[in-house]
Amino acid sequence: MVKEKQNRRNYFEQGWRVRMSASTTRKGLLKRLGINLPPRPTVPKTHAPSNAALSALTVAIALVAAWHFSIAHPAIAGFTFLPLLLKVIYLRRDRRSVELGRQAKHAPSRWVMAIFTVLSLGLILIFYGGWNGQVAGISFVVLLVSLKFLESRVLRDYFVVCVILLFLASCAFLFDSSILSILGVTFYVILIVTILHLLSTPGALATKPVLFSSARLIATALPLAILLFFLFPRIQGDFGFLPSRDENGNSQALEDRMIAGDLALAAFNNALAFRAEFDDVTPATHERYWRVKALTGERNFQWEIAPDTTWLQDERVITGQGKLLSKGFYNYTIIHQESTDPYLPYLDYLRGFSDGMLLNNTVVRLRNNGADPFIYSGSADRQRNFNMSADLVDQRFLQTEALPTSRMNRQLDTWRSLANTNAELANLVLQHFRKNPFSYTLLPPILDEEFPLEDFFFRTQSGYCEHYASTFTTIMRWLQVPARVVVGYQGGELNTSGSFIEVRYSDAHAWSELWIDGRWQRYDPTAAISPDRIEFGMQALMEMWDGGQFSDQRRGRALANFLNPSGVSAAYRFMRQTWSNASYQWNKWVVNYSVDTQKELLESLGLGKFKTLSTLMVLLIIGITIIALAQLLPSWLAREPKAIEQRLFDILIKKISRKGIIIESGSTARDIAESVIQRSPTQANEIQEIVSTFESLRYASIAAEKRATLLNSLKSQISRFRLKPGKKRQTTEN
Amino acid sequence: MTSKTASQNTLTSTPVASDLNSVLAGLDAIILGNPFANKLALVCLLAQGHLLIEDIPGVGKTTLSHTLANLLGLPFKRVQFTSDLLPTDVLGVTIYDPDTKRFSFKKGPIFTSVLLADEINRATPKTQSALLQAMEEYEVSIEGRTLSLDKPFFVIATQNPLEQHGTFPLPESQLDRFLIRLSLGYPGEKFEKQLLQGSLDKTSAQALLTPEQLLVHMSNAQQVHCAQPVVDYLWQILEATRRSDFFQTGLSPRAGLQWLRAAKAYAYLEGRDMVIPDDIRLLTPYVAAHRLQTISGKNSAELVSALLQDIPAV
Repeated sequence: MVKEKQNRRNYFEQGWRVRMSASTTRKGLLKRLGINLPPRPTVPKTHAPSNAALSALTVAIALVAAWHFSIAHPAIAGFTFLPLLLKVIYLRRDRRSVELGRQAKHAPSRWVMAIFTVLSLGLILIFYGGWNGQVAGISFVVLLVSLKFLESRVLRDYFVVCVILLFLASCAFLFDSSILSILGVTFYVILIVTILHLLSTPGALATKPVLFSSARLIATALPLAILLFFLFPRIQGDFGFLPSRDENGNSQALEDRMIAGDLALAAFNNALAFRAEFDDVTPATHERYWRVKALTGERNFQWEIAPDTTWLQDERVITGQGKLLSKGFYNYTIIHQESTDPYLPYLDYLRGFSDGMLLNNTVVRLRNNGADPFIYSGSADRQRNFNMSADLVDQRFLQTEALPTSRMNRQLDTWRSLANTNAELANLVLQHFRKNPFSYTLLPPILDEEFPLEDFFFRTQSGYCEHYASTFTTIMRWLQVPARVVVGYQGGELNTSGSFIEVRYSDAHAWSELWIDGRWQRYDPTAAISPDRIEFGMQALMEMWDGGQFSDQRRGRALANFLNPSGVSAAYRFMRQTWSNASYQWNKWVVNYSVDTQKELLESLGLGKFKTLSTLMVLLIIGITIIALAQLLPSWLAREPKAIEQRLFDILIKKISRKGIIIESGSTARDIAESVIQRSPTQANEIQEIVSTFESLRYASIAAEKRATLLNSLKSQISRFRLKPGKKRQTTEN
Repeated sequence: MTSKTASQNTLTSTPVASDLNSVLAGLDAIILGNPFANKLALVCLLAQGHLLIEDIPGVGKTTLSHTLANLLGLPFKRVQFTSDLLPTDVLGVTIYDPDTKRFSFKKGPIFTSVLLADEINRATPKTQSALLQAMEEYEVSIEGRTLSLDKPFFVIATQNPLEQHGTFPLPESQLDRFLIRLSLGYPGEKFEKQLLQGSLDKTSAQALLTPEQLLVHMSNAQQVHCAQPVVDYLWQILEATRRSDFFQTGLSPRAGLQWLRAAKAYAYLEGRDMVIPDDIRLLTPYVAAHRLQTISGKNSAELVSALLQDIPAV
């Protein structure tokens, strides 16, 4: 008898207690509609997870741990691998143990787990000072999942791990939501679904390539997800759904001060600063001056923002909407990449802006710096005839720390004697730049420390835009013309596949503004030195760069190549622009999809009123609920009422499960008795009696009066039954 | 005290079954190390079904059938199936007797109670089907005459699980004729050593029952009560195999009927007067697996057992 039991158990362990969805073919509504869903994975409770599932799960956690490096402190990220490594060792050992017929150990002892837990908590406390904050919170969850994996023994644990991994997958969007990252996350989710599939299917039962069917499962859900994304009423407020970092524009900014040579270095920085899309007319390259900062304070060839810039209320500038719908304006929308710079680029001359606040130097600043990519719009005056009022001009715009030498004074006197008005003065100085052999270069020579301006003006005569802006502005101040330096971007590349302007850090530019005829006017000395820079933009100019200077020999070919690219360079530009357009549309429609954008979309679809949409959604939800109920109700109503002895036995099952014994579905009464005996051998007689009474009631043919007495005794037996706390962990019999 | 009577009802052996238990004990004494296979063989016989043993040569298939026949006091015959075996070699042949100048029928080996059809898959389909018809109908038709077989009639067929040259695998329709398929396997360390020491006496098997007693047991076994919940349970399993994507076709109603017979026989052998779901479930791999063709080519025993996990059994 004992041998037979053993035999049975052996058989069970090999293949019996495996579980697979029996309802692989459901004849539900979906089927009738012709929608074929993959088999529903039922929640398995017992079988040992297959090696394939565990390997895949290890890979999934390793991927999360690797991703963890990109956001967390390396020490914490590195620590994540420790439990993982230990688990791999345990898994390998268990695999061998199974081969040798020994008991698998699954996980280290509680002491080791406790040490790991304390270490994890300690690391988070040390490096983050608590669990507040995004990174600390996510590090916490990553460590949690790694430790949970280490601790996992039974299938249910591994399922928990999968659920946490799915949660982490969605957390990735807190840091990056570019196309690439959503592709990555989608792939990851497919991986997790595959693992769930593998876990719920014992190795022997896997009939189809699971990765493929998991991908199909996700693909089935995708249209609904997209529909809901665009149509589901959006909640006002920020979820921290961050914009993409696809063009490695991570937190770059123009400096708040200008030192000659800085912007020249930026010319090699091809990172994207922002994209701008114009509503109707796109201004020509030489019109596209993106104003970011105005520098007033002069510190001997260095410029910085004046400390007394204040917030300004000027009713002539339209705030809020940002766009002026009359003809004299360029109206545009900007999607700015992630940046640490609180100053926003707006096209000169500013007339309307939607975001930030206006300062007295006509610069728009955010209250806090814009760490997220953001979208805003603005308007620029096409006629260049608007500017701030006169009362803003004072001595500050004439102060210089650098003083002219005698040679410079002679030059200044010459100009003074030749010109009658400030405008004429400015033109004289620009003419001087044009007539003399000044050159434009990315590698400006080193200047004298004491008199950098004179050294540049008389000796080297070779510099980048900031040299010219700085020199020109200082000279104008010496000539008693109020002047300031403006830093921003000039030009930008037109993306022909998306018809928007892409402005990169290499487009950074500096120019001057002079107070002439009662308003601030833009004067760009660079235009006098290197018209190509302004006419064609930095992109074209870089084609002429031969490593040392912008060579004139290259000019013709470079410009031809830039304006009419052919062959490889055309294909490359096309690909670059297409990809850029894709990520622009992504940022515009997905990342920055807000209540307003939704409204816009719905209006264009003819679902103008928000209320209509909400009603539609509510109706849809009600409809789905009714369909679901119609599906479920008949079978629920048709189900057979449970017999009294069954209901009594359910009470017993509940009592047992509450004490931590897992009752598998498909268990018979005797299976349940067996698991009780395993836990508490002293109660063998008691439980066997209950089971035999139950069996007599349910399966034997007995007379009605005997049935009544048996029912009574079953009732009292079950109510008397209390599971004694037995051995905590089930040890093996062999 | 009612519980006491209940347990007596279910868990203790009734005297009727005790002589069967001694048969089982006798079987265990000779076929070492695999009491469950022995029990299944007896269950198969009690349920008036035929047994298919799929195993490698030399693990005791012949000994099992021989001993079983001896213990039950039944005549035993053995046919080694080969590719040139003809139906007449199994059923019998009509020959001309020059003395009497008449044709007379020579009964073949099938006219016995326990027939061991060794390596059944070596014979041609023609011969196989001659045997299989007899198994289903308990009679043979030869030259227009129909002859009834002995009662009880019990075929133990063996086949080699390995694919070999010159074999004719039994088609599904014919596998369906076998109530139970099992494999014996190796006896295990302790028993094999005992076997090697030669302390066994195969001839010690004395008849413990008469054929008449056996027939009584067989009819009694089918009187075991099978309540509605058990029938429901069995039906759900059958239905699950039909709805499942794992199998080419589900189980036939005949399979269900035979399964229930086997479950009753098993309960009877256990000394119970009712079938419980455990009986059904226990027999699953032995009764159902050989009747199911998996689509994936995987082990059908595991797949059908997996289905059971979704079927409530309480």
